[in-house]
Amino acid sequence: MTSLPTTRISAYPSYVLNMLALAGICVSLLVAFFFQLALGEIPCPLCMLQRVGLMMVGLGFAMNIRFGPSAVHYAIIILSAITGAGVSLRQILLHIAPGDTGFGSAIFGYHMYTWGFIAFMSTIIFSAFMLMIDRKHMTGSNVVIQTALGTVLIGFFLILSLGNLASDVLTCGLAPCVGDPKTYIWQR
Amino acid sequence: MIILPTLIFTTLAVLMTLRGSRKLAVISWVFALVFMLGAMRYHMDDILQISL
Repeated sequence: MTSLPTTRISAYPSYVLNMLALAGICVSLLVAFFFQLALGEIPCPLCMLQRVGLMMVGLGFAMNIRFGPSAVHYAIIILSAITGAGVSLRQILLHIAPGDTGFGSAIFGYHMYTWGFIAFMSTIIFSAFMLMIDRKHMTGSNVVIQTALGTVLIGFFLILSLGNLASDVLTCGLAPCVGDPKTYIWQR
Repeated sequence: MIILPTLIFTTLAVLMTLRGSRKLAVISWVFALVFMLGAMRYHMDDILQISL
């Protein structure tokens, strides 16, 4: 029985770049959790959908790290980012009228949904460049993960995903989420 | 409840990625995307204060 050839994907520049991109997604989700847990800003349905968009984008980066770069993984990133950007843009338009103070706190002058839109658009541009950089290495299989850091990073991303799942259950329960939640389910 | 399925399938996809099941991860992502579009349709129904 012949074994499939393996490639050292840690040698590819894209491996490092995808790791950095996934780390960026983790930081974004951590900032969202900071605003929720430390400042008491419970996420609205659109905010939660943007977090899901970030998670789905992060999934594409995680797959590039775990299985090696692939056009399918970058398609997952781009489609997820377009979906997330759609939600961000919708929330921007909701608060674009003069006199509207926006929803939630601002970071460096921009609300989180504006940063979300910038992040999703940056992700699409990043993926377009990565598709050019990675074009010779796209296999999507027959690769082995070479660094423990990659496993740790994906594991941490999984913990953040589970945290968002728990957050949604604790905010909305099994009912549709209200537009501007003020309390968790045990406070009602 | 509306957003929960997409969260479940996304988390499942991340878990499958960590475990090395690429095919299951992609399938989970497809389900997550479909439920995400459904949740967007349900929640993005507020009337905008501007004319598009």
